[in-house]
Amino acid sequence: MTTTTSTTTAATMGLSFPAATFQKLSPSSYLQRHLQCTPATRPSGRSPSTFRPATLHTNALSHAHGSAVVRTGDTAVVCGVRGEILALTSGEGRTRGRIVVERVGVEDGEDVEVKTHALVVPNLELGTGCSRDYHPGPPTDFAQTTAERLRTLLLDTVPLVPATTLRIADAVGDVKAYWVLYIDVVVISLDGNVLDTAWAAIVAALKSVRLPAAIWDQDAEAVICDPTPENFRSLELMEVGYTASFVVCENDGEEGGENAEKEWVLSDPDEFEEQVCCEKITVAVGAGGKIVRIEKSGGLSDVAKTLPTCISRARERYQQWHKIIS
Amino acid sequence: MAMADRRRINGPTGATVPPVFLEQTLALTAPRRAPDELRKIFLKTSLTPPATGSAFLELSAPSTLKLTASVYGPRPLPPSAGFSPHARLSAELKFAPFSTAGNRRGYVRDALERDLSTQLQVALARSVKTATYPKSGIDVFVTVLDCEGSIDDYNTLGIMQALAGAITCASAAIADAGIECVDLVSAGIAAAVGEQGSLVMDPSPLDGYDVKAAALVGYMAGRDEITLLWTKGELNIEGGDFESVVDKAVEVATQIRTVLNEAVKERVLAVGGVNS
Amino acid sequence: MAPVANPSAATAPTPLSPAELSYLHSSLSLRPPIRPDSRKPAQFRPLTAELDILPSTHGSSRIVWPDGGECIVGIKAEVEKATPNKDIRSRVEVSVEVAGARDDDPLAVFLASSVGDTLGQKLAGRLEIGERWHWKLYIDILLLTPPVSHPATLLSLAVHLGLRCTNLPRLVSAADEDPLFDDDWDAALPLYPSNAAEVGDVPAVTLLVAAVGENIFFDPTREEMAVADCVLAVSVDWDGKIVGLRTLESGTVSEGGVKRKVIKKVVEQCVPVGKEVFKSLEGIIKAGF
Repeated sequence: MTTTTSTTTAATMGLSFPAATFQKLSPSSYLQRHLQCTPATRPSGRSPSTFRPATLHTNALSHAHGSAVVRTGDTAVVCGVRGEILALTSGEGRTRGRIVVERVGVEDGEDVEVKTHALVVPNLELGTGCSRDYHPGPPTDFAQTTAERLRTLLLDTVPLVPATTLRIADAVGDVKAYWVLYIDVVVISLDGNVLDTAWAAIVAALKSVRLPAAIWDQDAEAVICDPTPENFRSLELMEVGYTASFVVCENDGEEGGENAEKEWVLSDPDEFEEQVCCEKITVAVGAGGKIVRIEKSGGLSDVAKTLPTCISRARERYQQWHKIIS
Repeated sequence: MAMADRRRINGPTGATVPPVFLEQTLALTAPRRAPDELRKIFLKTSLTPPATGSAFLELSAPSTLKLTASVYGPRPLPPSAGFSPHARLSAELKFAPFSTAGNRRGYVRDALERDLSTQLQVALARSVKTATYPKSGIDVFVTVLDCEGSIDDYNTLGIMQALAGAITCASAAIADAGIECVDLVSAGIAAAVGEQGSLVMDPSPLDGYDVKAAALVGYMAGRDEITLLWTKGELNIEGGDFESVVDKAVEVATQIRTVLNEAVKERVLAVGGVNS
Repeated sequence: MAPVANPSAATAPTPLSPAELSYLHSSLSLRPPIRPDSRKPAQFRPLTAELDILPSTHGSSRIVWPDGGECIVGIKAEVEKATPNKDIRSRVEVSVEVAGARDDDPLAVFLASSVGDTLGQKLAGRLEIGERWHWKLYIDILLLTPPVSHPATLLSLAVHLGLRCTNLPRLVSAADEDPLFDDDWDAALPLYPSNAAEVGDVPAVTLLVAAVGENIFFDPTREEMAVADCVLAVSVDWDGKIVGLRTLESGTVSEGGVKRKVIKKVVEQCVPVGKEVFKSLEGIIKAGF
């Protein structure tokens, strides 16, 4: 793994072996020594608050109704959204005979529909040779966890897809079928922070979806679609939100004395930083700068100090994503 | 109906079907290519930095084939594998769920993908100087992001085009990884179509040909040697049909080799330290 | 940790040292070549075959190969309604079970698809019952012992024999009615009539050929395959046409691929050798009935 280190840093540290060896032997010190310089720099050359610039291409796939390719630095993912039709069998009501508890304070009952029928199905595939640790086979714990986090984001935190846009009704207005959106995220290249990139790809792909016009045919008792491309429609999505992930690196060294930083919050960690630092924070920001989700795991840093930093940076990142995707 | 994959998020328990359209519009919007005209290939290496070597292949519009290959190795074999005086090359090919028309593919590898993975491995194994890397494994992963046409067992051309692209792309990735090779492998397809069995170079499933027989060849142009040959359909020996289809496929592979050379030139020059 | 290629039943490495492999490669590259068991290049190993061994199936066969490999094929048929858009090749379903290997073992997958391709459309065309119905044939192949040498030829011969002795019940209903069959098994009609061989309309057969240098060898043993430059599975039919060709994994003794003229030689020689194989099969079938 090649990283660039400035020659001045090397001179002040007085290394007697190459930087790459130092990185392998003692990754934690390697990272901290970089951050202890003024100004604090990361091994990749970024400052702790810099996110990697992102690039986006949409509608690159010919067999998907919507698709997006997002690259942030060396992490690249392809997200394809395909719609398939779920016909409700006769007698199947909206709740399918299950007891549904409606929570007080829930504004609409529409997200219940999306969940009970499983109308939105996100999945994440890491076994594509995207990084040396992930090879084909059953998904690893990390892959399953990340997929579940994406699903929670999509169904609960930032419920982008309302059931109304997925309903297929007959002439009278009864719901006869639904569109089911299979959202498959395939990671092509992995260099840390797959969650942010995957989520942004999902949002961009959903925005680019063009579904055929679907009509319920009473005689055939099935859904027929109109093939003319001009009659394809986009999804009516709710307010978007974007995530920003961080890691917190503790300062173990004695240099700098009392005024030294206790820890550094690193935005958009790459693979090396994710492996070295155990404390991870993810903030999801919605429209208007609303904070819709905060996740923190590992580490013992003072949350009162690190979280506000993360929140303000996450809001900036929201603006960056918004500019690219919308 | 396949069992729901426990480790993935599954769809609704009722079956979902791909949209059924009013009439199938199969209009050929683009004019058909000449029988001896190949499609333009875009091939770029080093797009997956975590991998030792990688490549991305895309065919020009109206073709839609897109695939990426990443190579890891040579890396040590696990201790459970016995001693091996040669490097063990393994290849895996996977179609992404959104890559094919019709039904969405699952994440579990099915028979077709395993078969194509074996053929990919056969095509590449003899092009690598495995004797230079004892006790090592070289892993090649190809992900097909977008296919042309459908990929069910009875549509030969779609499957062959995916495999041909995979072989060329994987060979570029192996060169990008700096692994010593005897030669690069490029893959070409030729088919005998229609009543007369006239030969077509690089046929696409979208061209709508009535394919009588097709041949895919994995070819090392520098040494004039074939590493993989796969034919489907009836071919005469006495009439020379077999020979002419294979020769045509070799011609296609030779032309594709020029694209492959361009793509790996930068990497080869950098490793070899040769000024162009 | 590096993932290792899934060990399949066919790629289990041969227990020969590099020196032994090199010796074998040299002896096979000689002109004239010397095979370890002194066979001629186009000579097959003797095999034992039995027909109609499973009374509960529509057709069956058993072949025993001299190295102990044993293969049983059972063929059953069901009546199915014709659906308009389905490819007619879906009327034949092949499943291969290799003893000691998983369902998704690459060898089993390759064998199933290879047999399916070889039988192709010709067999599917025989399965019509009027316009709206057709037979669906299930060909189940069991390899009773983990294969020592590659079983492609073994399987295709067993399937050929199994199909040749398959009988299907006689249709007694009229053309446009729902099909009704004669209960009497003795009245059943063979899938391939007795004059099929003269007409040349019999299932194709897969031959394994190994190329070492300029020499080619039919029915290679595992050791010969391990030192070969190239191993091809060539499917030939009665008329001498190549119905399909696949390349199999060959050894690592030499590097590089194979020249076109060697492939041409392989394919040209497959025609007369194929004819010989069909002749022997006819002999077995005539002896069986």
